[in-house]
Parts: sequence; C-alpha cells; structure tokens
Amino acid sequence: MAQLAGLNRLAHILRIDETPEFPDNHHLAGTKPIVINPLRHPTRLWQVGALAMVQLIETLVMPSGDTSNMIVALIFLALYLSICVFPVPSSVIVALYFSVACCLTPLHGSGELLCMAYTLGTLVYDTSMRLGLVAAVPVLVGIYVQAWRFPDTSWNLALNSAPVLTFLLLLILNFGQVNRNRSKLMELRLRDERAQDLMHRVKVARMIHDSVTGDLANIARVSQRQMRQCGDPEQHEAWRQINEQSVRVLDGVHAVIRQLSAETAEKHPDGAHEGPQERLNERVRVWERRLSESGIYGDVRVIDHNGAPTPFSGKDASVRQSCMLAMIDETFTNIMRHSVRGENAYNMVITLGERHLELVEMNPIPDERKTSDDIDDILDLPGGNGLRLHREEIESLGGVMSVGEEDGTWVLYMRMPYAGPDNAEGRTPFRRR
Amino acid sequence: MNREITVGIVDNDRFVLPSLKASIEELSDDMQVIWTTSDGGQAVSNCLTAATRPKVLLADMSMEGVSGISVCRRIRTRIGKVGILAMTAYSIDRYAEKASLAGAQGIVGKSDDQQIVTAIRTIASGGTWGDGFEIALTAHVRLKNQTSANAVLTDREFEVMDSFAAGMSIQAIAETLNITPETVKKHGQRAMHKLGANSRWQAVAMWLNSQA
Repeated sequence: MAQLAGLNRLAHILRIDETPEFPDNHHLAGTKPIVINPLRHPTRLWQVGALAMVQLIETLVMPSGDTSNMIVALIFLALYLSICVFPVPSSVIVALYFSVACCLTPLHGSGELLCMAYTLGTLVYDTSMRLGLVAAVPVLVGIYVQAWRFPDTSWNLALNSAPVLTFLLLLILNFGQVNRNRSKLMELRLRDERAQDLMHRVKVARMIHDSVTGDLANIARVSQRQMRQCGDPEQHEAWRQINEQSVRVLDGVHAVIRQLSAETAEKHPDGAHEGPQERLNERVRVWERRLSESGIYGDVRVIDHNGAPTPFSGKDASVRQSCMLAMIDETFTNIMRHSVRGENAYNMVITLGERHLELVEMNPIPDERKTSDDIDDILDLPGGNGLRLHREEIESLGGVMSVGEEDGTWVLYMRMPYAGPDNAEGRTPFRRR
Repeated sequence: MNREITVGIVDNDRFVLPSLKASIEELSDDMQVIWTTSDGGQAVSNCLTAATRPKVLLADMSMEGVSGISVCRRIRTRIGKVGILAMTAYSIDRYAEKASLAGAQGIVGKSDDQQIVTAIRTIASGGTWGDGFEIALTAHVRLKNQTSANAVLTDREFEVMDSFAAGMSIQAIAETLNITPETVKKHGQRAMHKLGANSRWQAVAMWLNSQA
C-alpha cells in the first residue's frame, strides 16, 4: 500500500481522508486548483478550520490593540477561510493582504503568521515551488517592514528576529513541496495498484471463462440432444432440468465475468437522447419511402459502433457532417435515377465506427450501363450534384471514396473521419475492448 | 433431401466440434457439416478455397492463437461469399460488436442448438442474425477498402501480429504456431517493414488501429 505523507497520514488515521464519499481527497497536488468543492476535501477543511479557530480566538479573546487591528484580523480571517473554496487565487490574495497589513499596522498575534505559513505551504503543494517563492517575497517584505516599524509586536519579540521567521517560512515552503511530490507519487502508485487490480480481475474473469463457460455450454447442448432422443418421460424431464440449470448457471457466470471485467452496462441506456444512429435512421427511412413509392425496394442499415451523441468533432465538425449527409442524399438520388425497379434493387450500410463513418452501397447495374468501365463516366453520371464533386470534398476532409463494379454489381464506398488529423483523438495503442 | 447448406465449424474446444456437427445434422434436413477444425488458419484456408468453401462458417470467438475475430476479418477482407456466424460461450454482448466490425453476419451463444441451426439457415439465405450486422457482400467491401495492411501481410505475418497484439512473448508465439523463435522474429520484422513501423510496439499500435 502506498505510504501517506505528513498531515495526510494523520488524516488517514483519523479516517477523514480518502473515503468512498471523497475519493479525490489527495489529488490537488500540483493541479493548480482555482475552485474546489470544500466538502470533497475534508482534510483541507479540517486544517484550515483549525488554524482559523486559533486566529479567531486570538483576535477575540487576547488583547491585541485597537479596533483597526481587530478589523484587519477579521478581514484576514475571511480571506483565509476562502482558501477552502478558491485555493490558488485566495492564497495569492492572502499573501498580498498580509504583506500590506504588515507594512501599515502592527499585528500583535501569531495567528496570522501561522495561517500565512500554512497558506504558503499549501500554495506550493497545489502549484509549484516557484509560485510559492513568488508569493513568499511580499510576505517576507511585510515581515521585515513590520519588524522595522513595529518592533514591539509580540510575535516579533517572541521569535527574536525577522531572519528566524524567514528561515521558518522557507522551511514551510520546502515542506509543501515535499508533501506535493509525495502526494503525486502516491497518486501514481494508487493508479498503478488500481490498474493491477483490474488486470487481475480480468485475468480471473478469463480463467473462469476458459474453465467454466465452455463446458457449461456443452452440457446444455448435450442435454438438449438427449431430450430430443430420449423416449422415456422421466429421463426427458431429468435432461430438461439439467439443461435448464446449466443455462441458468451459465447466465450467472456471465454476470460474474461482466462484474470482474468491469464491463460497462448498456452503451445506449434507455431514454438516452437521440444519437446519430437515430438521426440517420430517420433520414434513410424517408428516402426508403420515396424509393418504394417509385417501385424500388432494397435494404438500408445504420450500424452504430460508436455510441457518442455527436461523433464529429473539431472545428470543421459541421462541415464533415454536412458532407456526410450530402453524400447519403447523393447516393439515394443516384439509386432513384439509375436503379432497376423491383425487389433487392439496392443494398446500403452506414457504419458509425470508432474513428470514422463508412458508407457502402451496392446495386445491380442496369444492362444499358454495363458497357462503361470508365471511372470518369461513373463519376459524372447525371443526377444529383455528381459523385466527382463529392469525392473531391470527401478527400479534402481526409476521407476516401471509391466506385466500381464487382460481379455485375455497382459498388460505392465512402469513409469520412470524424475529425481532421489535428483534432483526432489519440487512441491508446494497447486498449483492448 | 439434398443437404444444400454446407457448414464449416472452427473451435478449439475438442468436445464442441463432434457434438455440434451431430446436433446440426440431426436438427436439420438441409444442412451438412463438410469440415471441422480447431485451427483458425486452416479454417481461413478452407473458406478461401473454392473446393472446400462452405456456405456458412461457424466460428468460435475465443480461440487461442488465431482468434475467431481474426478468422472473420481475414476471410471477409478477401471474399464476400461465405456467411460467417460467430459463436461464443461468453455473453453475446462481449463479442457482438467486434464480430460485426470483423465482417460476421451474426452471433449466437453456444448453449442452444436450435438457435444455432436457425441462425445458420438465416445467414445461408443471405440474411443476418441479430442487430448491428450486415450482409457478407457489404462487409467485404467495407473491410477491403479499410486498410491496405490486410491485403499486404501474409497469413503467417497476420498470425504473428495478432499474437503480438494479444501480448504474447516471442517464445509463446513460437510454441503456439509451432515455429522457431527466430522465424517469429523474421515474420514480425517483415510485418513491421510492410506496415512502415520503426519498432515492434509501433507496429502493434498500427496493427491494432488497422483492426479497429
């Protein structure tokens, strides 16, 4: 198990750190958080609250000067508490406020100094040592000005000199960096452990499959065969029960394998918003009706292997989508104009793959057209806008279009990537589905 | 009655082949299992040869060595004539999409004889079995046009790349394919060169992308 560092270890012992309710409690290290939900980071809430309480008690209970000092301290407290929600911006503002306050008014308590030290350490943890040092400069300037202008302030006297405070603040900054590095390392180890756990579960799932499901399926089939051949009613009933139970166990094993493999449930949950498959289906149904009214009957399918609501992405997504729809319309237009009437006049499949859309259309070539083998004649068939124009546009978008003849059948193939090469999502090479 | 629907079966489970053959021929008057094999490469070869080509190939999806998906893809890339029915002892969802992308016409579970026979008959008549599948001819056009890699690599190079993509070591591949490790390396290098890759890992990544 990865080792926890510093206050995170204490939080872990007190069970207020990473829990199922707060799985992301560690992950702020180096993430430069601008806004966070404080309820998802109870450790930080606890740390900030504890120091804020110290400062509040000090401000209200211990005599610390006139009313202006109290106002300065309370404003500082409010800014300090906002670190729980706006970690980085508030830290920077607190540092600047502290610096200005130190230059203008004596700070009699050590509460602000403790809060400031924590703020700087957390800033380094959340961002980097560089930003921490930059924020520390005005703080140190403020401390030195405070030491020069108000030498009688209690924390200044108690800690003897500004150089000592400087050393302590730098120590805090270093502590923040060490904590950050350890947290990042721990996150990596946790991820690695989770990945290994998943691999182990997948391996177990595979072992179960290899050893159990094949044999269960065989038992089911053998019992079905025995049921067919068996004349005795009692034996028939016995085989029926064996078949039923083996199928039931097989279903149960499938469920276990799914659970172990962490397979997601349905790709298309019930009630999901209309995806590209539905929209394309609608479009092709309209064309199917028009073709059937003209006596041309065939088969059209839209097969969605992608599942995304909007597969096209990038700046030219709308252009690609328009090109695809225009190509589909062009294909149907050509079917309308050039296909023979009757059944099985055409066959079209639109496949939404992971990275591109493909269209395949096939139809028997009418006899009068079979004389032409020239691709240019095919591309320049009258009707629609011409396949040549579409091919040019498709190729300009990184797609492919080909037309030809195969065994007396006209074949059209089109492939359109969802995004251009600059916008294409990277695919993890070894991802296995 | 003339058994006009010829069927080929490929499965590496030694119990399945004879029992499936017997069940199919018992449950139908019009089907005949003309060959069975546990070798994916042999099944591909039989389907590509006119003399041994069945009307429908029944292919197990989870075979070791040459996977059922690879068998589908190799056949479908080259011809659109054999109907391919995928079968699995896993739940069907697990392989349905992959089988469809690889050019199969349907998928069935291994536990129901009657369903297998009905599915074979449907595919033999030019249909598909289940949602998300296309007919053999359109699948053939799609796969043929998808990538040049499929047409360029030899069968052995196919097998070696599939095995690398499955994470097998050179020694394991050599034992599975019954060749020497040096021969495995040679096939791998030739495949790398044909794919235009600079390293084995790049070749595997390109291979996986081409199979997507």
